[in-house]
Amino acid sequence: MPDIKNHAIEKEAGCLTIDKTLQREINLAKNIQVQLLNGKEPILEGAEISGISIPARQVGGDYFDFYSLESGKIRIVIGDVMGKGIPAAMLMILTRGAFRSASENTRNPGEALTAINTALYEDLRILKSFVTLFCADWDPKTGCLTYANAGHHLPLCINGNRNAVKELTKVSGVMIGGLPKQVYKEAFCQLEESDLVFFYTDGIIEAKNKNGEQYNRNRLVETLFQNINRNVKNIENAVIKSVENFTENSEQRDDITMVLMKKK
Amino acid sequence: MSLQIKQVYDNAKIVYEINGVLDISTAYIIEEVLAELPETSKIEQLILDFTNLEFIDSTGIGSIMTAIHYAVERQFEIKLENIKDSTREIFEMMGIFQIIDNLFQGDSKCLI
Repeated sequence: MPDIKNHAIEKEAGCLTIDKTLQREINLAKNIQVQLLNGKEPILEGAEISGISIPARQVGGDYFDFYSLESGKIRIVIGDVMGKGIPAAMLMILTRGAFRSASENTRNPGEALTAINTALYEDLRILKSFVTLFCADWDPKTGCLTYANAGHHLPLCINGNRNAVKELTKVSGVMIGGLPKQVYKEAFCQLEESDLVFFYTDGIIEAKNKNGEQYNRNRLVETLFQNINRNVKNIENAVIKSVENFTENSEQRDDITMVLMKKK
Repeated sequence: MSLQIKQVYDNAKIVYEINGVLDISTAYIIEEVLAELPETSKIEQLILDFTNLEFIDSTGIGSIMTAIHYAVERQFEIKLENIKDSTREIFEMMGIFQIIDNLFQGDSKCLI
């Protein structure tokens, strides 16, 4: 007669081994994502820049990146893959590859989004997924930020000297994976001294407190106003702290990502 | 977090009343109710009614996209009704209406 008790223990041990292996692989995946996301921040002429992504789970679907163009401009991208966790992280890595490849071969942010959409459209349709992306080229010589949008939140622009929100010209475009053969319109903004451009994903403004209230855009703007005279790393930390205080450390429901660029 | 989808049939029209939160934990329900529609049904119009939608996240938007593509495949009309301003803003930002316009171009099958 088989030893039922021992058999059960063996089965359990087998599950534990699988759990440990899976956990180790998730940790490795997390490490890959952290390394790729938190690459070297570029040193900008006439501006400072910083970015951070905090996944809600061990890995996440938010994305930001910088790319130095041959023209001397810096390309900035921020995005959000549909969903959360491992599936979103896999598509985030796919998006990163498409962005870097597109940046090598395109002269402006609208063209880059078109190239990324062309590269990813079929895969995303098959997977019933999509990515929102906001892409901007910073020209340190002219102080001009040219941008295009594929379904993402417009960044906030705050002028530190006047302590006022500077409205960016709205550009909209279909999310990546929404429709094939998309052309993305561009707009530009001439940045002035002490202008802060705050690129973000919805995990910040949709962070909830225990009463179910959202952090929302107004609180974010207020926090940026209060810290506008600090450097970008300190402003970034202040936003994280403010969201944490608001949510009273309740469970983070969505990935949180921000990129800050401030003209000196 | 919960989602209930009330289905109201009216001859060739079917209304899905979306009640609650349409997010990563509930969005699969949309796909389930769509899959339950028999291939032989004579539905001509699918209405998604957002009157009681409390919250939608990116996975919820993905389920709306699935419904739109499903309507294209099955040659239904699709109509999005009673969208709150905050949700409309998200749909506009992500290009949902542009996608519908494009997929149903010249067909006048999507009414928003």
